[in-house]
Amino acid sequence: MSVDAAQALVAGALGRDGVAPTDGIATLAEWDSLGHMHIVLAIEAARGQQLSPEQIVSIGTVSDVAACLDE
Amino acid sequence: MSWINKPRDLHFDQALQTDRFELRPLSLWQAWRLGANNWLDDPELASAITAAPLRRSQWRLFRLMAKPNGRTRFTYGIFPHGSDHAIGVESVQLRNYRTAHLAVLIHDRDWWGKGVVVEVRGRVISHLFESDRVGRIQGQVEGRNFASIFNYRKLGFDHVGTFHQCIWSTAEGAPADHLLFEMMEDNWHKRGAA
Repeated sequence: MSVDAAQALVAGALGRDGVAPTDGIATLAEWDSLGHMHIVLAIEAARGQQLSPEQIVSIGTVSDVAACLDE
Repeated sequence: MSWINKPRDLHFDQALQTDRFELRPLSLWQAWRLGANNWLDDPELASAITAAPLRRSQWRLFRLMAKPNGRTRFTYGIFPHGSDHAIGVESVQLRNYRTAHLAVLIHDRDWWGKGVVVEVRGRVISHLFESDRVGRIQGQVEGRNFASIFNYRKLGFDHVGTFHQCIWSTAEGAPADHLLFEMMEDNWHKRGAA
């Protein structure tokens, strides 16, 4: 369930129609520095709290986003 | 001033080219002029350098800025090809043991979000590792500077530690963390081969 939510969150933050769970910094051209900022802020909005520095630095793929949403 | 008796290091004190930019080594005077003309009027940029947005004097900037000396500290102005207008700087400080510390600031906001740091820093890192003076590169960034964190991740740096609540963030109005990143020479070459 959180993978679906993560895919929707990342796609929305990057303005894409969809993304795969394995997509990330290395594979998505739209996932640049501003895109990364949008993704982190979207995760924090979804969780209703700020991420820790360790969580922020762990985000590199859609699967990482799913893990953050699960915590 | 232990550096003053050392000869200038011509390997680092030379211009570098990327697809979109020329990185020109700046003198202390040029670096200070660039900062005084472009950073002090922008509270957000100035606070990154002076750690105090309301104290943006040229003297404070001079005291706290990275000061190139041609031996152990180098500051490269980032110039788009065909332009004499610098959009930012990349600073390198050589430290013991075989360590280079990086810092970057893009003051031209029109270039934010356009991959400047990844392109420039990638070239600088390759150049640093061509020297036997550098085997390890490190950087430090505030914990909520998402764009900088992205840049380190994109370049393949490892997050090797966190200083928790080590600095007062004027932007957040609260203590902030600093994240430490590291790139070893072997990892950079493996990454290039991958």
